[in-house]
Amino acid sequence: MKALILNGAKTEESVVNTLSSCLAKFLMEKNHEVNTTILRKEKILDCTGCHNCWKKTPGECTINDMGSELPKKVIQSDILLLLTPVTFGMYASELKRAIDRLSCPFTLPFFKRVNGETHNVQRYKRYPAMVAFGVLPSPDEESEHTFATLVARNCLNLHMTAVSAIVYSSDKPEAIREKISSTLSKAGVN
Amino acid sequence: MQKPTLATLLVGSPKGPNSTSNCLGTYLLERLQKNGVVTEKAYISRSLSSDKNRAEMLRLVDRSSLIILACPLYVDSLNAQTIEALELIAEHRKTRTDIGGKSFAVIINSGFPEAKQNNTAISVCHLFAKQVDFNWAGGLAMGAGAIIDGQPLAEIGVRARNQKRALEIAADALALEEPIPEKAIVLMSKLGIPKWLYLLIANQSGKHEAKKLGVTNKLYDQPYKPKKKANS
Repeated sequence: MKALILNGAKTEESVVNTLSSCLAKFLMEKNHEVNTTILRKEKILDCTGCHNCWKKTPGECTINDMGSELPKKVIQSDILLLLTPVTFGMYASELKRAIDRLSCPFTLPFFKRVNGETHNVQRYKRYPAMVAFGVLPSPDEESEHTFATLVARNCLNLHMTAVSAIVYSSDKPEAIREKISSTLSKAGVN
Repeated sequence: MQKPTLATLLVGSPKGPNSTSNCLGTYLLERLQKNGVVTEKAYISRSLSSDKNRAEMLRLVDRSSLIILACPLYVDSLNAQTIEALELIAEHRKTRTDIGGKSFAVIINSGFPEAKQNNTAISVCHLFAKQVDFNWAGGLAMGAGAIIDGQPLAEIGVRARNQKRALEIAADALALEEPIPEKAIVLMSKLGIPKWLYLLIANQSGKHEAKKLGVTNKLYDQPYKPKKKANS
């Protein structure tokens, strides 16, 4: 399987980098093809909400930067792995900037009803499975609940199956590996 | 009750002055002004564009006793620029212990007709307030933001009546340093036109725009669909 890791670490020292390395190693040991993008090192501008990817060039973002390549990278992967510090219960800005660039190119400018809610119609027949890992300094029930809710909501709006997990900065390498293994197993990645 | 000394609106939409977020926030500010509150406004996209502007935004936040964030829903939460601004404020607050109590309120709008789709974003803002020790003054969530579509609320008729009334009630409470009343939250979430009509217009406008731009036959394109491997 093709795995794409979006590493949303804010600094070189972040535990997110340790998690990213562990994850890549784990997947390669299982013979998956792994591609890692360290988001803070790339030129990714903010989505401006212009909706050109709906109206002018359907499915393609018109901003001239690496962010426009992300929808292609993601849709051509089998697993999308999101790694981020948990900031106020959500993705930190580095990762969110990348996710903001995916939503419109992945959907059509039409609405449909799903479980009593309105969502955009999907553009593609198949999307990768999403696995989101959030890093927190220590257990925080409210942040963890919000993070899990956000990932579950994204699964509806990005048309992906999604699983999330929290890693603590104090986790030992064995504990991180165990969390990676159980989370990927839940996502059907073996 | 003591009035806020300064209320600042932070507009999180990348569309800045032309955004629905700005229209909603400005209507609230105008009502606060009628209640005798001094107000300021900053556009987050501009505030993040240079070190000087970042410092200016942080100084403005330091001086304010009420901060109101108005932003659009982007993929179930706040847009990246708004998160970056909140991260900056949180970092800045760690270095300042001499700043008095502040209240924080939010207005979030999305294109989906169900206001409840903004709930996760409201939770995120609540967590931010808790983390930086701001008093949580409440969140207003609006669905079907396209009804406003960047027009000043005063120029919109009945279709924005619920939102206007909600913002008036919210401003009157905030001016007394009280949290946003539940009545305002409920009114803000009510659509000014029937849901079926909003969906019909939204779906038709997608097709109409495509026709106007000559891309009707490309509307359903899948430019990045993986190519099937040729049989060897």
